[in-house]
Amino acid sequence: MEHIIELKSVCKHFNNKNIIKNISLSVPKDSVYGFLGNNGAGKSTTVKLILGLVHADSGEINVFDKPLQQQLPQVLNKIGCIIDTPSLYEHLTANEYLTIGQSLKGLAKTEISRVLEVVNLTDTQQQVIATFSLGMKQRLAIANALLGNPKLLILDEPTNGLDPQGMSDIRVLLKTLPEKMGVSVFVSSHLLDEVEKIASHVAIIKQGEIILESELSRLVGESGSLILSVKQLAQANKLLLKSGFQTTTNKNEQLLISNIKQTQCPDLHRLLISKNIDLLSSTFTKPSLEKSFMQINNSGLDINNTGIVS
Amino acid sequence: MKIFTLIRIEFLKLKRSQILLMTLLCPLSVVALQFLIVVENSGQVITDKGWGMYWMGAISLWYMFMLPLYISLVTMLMNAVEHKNSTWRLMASMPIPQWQLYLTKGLVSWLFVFFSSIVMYGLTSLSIFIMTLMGYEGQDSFSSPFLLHLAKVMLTSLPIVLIGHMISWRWKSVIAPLALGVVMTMTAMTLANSAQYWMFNPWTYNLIATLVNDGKSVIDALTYSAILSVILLMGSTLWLGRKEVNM
Repeated sequence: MEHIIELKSVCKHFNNKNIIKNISLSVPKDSVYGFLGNNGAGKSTTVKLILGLVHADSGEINVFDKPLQQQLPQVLNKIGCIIDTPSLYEHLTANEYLTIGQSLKGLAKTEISRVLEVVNLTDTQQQVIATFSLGMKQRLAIANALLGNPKLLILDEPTNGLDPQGMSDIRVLLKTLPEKMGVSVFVSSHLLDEVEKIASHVAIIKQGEIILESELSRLVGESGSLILSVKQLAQANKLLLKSGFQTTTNKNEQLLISNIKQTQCPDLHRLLISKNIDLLSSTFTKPSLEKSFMQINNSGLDINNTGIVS
Repeated sequence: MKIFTLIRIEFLKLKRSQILLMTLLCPLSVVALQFLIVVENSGQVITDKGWGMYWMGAISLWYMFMLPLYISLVTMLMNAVEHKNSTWRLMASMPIPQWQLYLTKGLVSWLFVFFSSIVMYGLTSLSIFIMTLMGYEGQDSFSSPFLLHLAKVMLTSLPIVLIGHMISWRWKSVIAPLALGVVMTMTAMTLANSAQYWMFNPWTYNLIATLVNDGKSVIDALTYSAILSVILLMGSTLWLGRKEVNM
């Protein structure tokens, strides 16, 4: 598999404190890579290391298959990024602000109109940034990151401050970028729900160490639980056990079928109906990324013994 | 050339900033003070000593006192634009080597020495024009060595531009560069009278180069400025041209 970012045994300390401890990670090309961790875990420092804003004490950082420090300006020309809160010149207009990136990346003026349209800020391009709402500022920072169709987007908390509609718009945009434009996306966030909706791969960093790196599908899995409400509870339970499902009943007089794939549910429904069992409701739930994250983050699992490392 | 793009961008960033206002207000305060002294005196000082004295007063106040303070202010504001919203992060993630940004900011700050001095020249000329309309007449002709002085000051101000820029780039504090500027300017006024020690305070170089008649001292001031500028430029670019942006 081709990797767009590779970190090998990278360490970084500030003021005698080890912030990044010997981390290694690989971001596959054309993926949306979710980088998760609590506040202070080392997410932003890792992002800054990848962008060359801070320098590693030891280890190797390769971006686009090249050692980062050797060709930093060329590498940065192909990257769009947002680091932490948006860095904006609030006394400038949106158009003037984007002119900075457009000029330094040697792009055509029309590129500004294009990215403003993508983030829906065309009407406010002549407005001074200080008058923007937090969501508008975030969208402007994303517009800046999209200048010149970068091959890699590195976004640190990209949906911070956005309203639900704004979050949804950004989510759709990020999810479609790899397929539509061949852009790989590295998203650092603590909003697990958001990452779960867009990421194809995830890594978890805890106290400066990567404790897990995996494809998202392997982490959250395909199996879940099905809660059924039926009129003939005992009959249904007997039938499902006989058919090989793992069932239990809960205090609400419902059947709980565990370890079932979503694709198996229609067959199960048909089976019950064919035996004249009245099906009142059926709810399928999958373990969320949040649940997996909490389990892994709190259990102190090591990358070497999770069994789900890709 | 990326450097020209960077210069254009640095000027773009200064739109609606206080630097442009200061570039007008600092020379204006010097000219207004001179003008008021003459008006207070009903133009007698012009009649007695001529326009040459008026020019000399303006030049002394500007190069000796206001310009060094203005330089501290400009270098501080040039870098405060980046410190304010942590836009160092944005600039450091652009495809330009950081030392180019460092040098460009220093260069633009230095250019403001030229712009402000031209504003000073224009405002002084304007005030003389207004005073002639008011009927004040000097014995001498309307002339000034201001531009010759400006050429010298462009060199002698370079070390203090670089020191101010260095401090303002490295530290977010607005107090440090301004306090240093005030302290060094004040001590320069005293040290400039010392034949032995003036060279140890770069803030005296403007004054020595423009107001002292001794040709050797003028050459010395220009030489020290050039040598110190080269040392500061190389040292600070090596030191600060690759700083970590961890904010």
